[in-house]
Amino acid sequence: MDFLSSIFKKVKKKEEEKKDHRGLIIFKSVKEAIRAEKILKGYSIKVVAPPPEIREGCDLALEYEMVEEIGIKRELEKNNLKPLKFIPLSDPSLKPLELIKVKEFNDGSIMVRCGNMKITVDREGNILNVSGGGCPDVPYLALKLKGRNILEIPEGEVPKELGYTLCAYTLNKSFEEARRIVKENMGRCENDSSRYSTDRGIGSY
Amino acid sequence: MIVAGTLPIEGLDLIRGEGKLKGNKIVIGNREFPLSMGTGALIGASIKVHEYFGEKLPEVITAGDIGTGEGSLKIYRHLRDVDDDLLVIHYIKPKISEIMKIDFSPKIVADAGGMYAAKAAGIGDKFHIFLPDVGELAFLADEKASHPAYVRGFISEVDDREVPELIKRAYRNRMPRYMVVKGEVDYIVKEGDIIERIDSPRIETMECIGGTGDTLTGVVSSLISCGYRTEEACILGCKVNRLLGEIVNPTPRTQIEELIIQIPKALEMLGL
Repeated sequence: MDFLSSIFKKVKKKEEEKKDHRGLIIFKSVKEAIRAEKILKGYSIKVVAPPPEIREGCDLALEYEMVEEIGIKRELEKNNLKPLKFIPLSDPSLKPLELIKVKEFNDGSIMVRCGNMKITVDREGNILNVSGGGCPDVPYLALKLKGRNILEIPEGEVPKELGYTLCAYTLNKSFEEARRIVKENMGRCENDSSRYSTDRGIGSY
Repeated sequence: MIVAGTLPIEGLDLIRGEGKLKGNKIVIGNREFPLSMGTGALIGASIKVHEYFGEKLPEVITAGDIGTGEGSLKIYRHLRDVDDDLLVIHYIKPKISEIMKIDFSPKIVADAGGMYAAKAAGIGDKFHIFLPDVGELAFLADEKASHPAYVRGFISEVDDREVPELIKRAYRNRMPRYMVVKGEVDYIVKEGDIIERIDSPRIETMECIGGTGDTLTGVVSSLISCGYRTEEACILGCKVNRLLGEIVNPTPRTQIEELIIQIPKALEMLGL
């Protein structure tokens, strides 16, 4: 009996580990879930019944690889499908990182970091460097962004629109914050001779 | 030594061959690639170290991938059977079902996506070295996280001073024998214990240059390939990377190519 129960425990543990990297997409109707399944053929998805505690009227959900979330979201948007929720399977309280840290250098450039992704811009908003991360779209995004001005990049070419992975999603957070800071300081510059506020310095918020 | 990782070129099919440098381009077979961040920077750094010691240049397995995972999949499948004793897995889309099937007979150094996949699959102990930065260390320390973007808040809010505690926490999960944690201070870890701290020279602007982590991985693994013991290679690799900062004196706009070409000088300065 002990032998059997240890096998069951091992199988259960393996199944739980598998869920750690997967999430659920919840739709408002079965019809939408079926349509999404067709649209997302190129992704590792599986149609499943959502657990009762997160059921929201729909009996079907799609299980997906969390790393592919940004590509999946874009594909669904392109097809006018708006899911109700994306939930990590291992722990529904897990949420993507929001913490942003900003560092200012002597020449007035700033590096904005969210999790593992960093973007560095100069005073005028020119993108000098992109660093960190490990998914294959990071070097691609670096090539696409470096040398351009962050204020002149159209919405269709921001990291979350060009990338496919969670690294692209995280880089987008850094990108948005860097753009907000540049814009804010440009506005301040029109009324003030100093371009950057001195209280930004090194730190986080 | 084999370097396996994607390049950000849409539609590039799988290529395998010796990597060479021609000016600031990488040459594999009859194709040329830029020395940009990611696998390109790692290959460039590896070639520079092997050239310096007069050793056989590293073999490269690459394919184009801009995030869709197509190129990564081709590489994973190619790694089911490799014929070298040192393998470096770099920018590759984390795919747990695929990383479980690779050939684990060589010593494997995993950085970037390779490390994410290994940790998420819960097989970190099958690897020889991971090279996380502080943000990635938080991911390794969070037993629930499957990607650095999903690290739980209470762990991700750490700073460099809390690294030793995070290392301990990470080693409660399955981790490789060695780890290099890069940051303001670089920590060399063996079986969960910090065996060396390297903190000088400290060049703050190195952090924003895309590719400095890639060159560190390239130098450390190449030193192992050229005969150095893993501990020594990790320590020397961190020193080389920091010296590159001192030699180049970078600004936030410095690009990684400018550092890679100075690797021989840094090796020479260390008397290697």
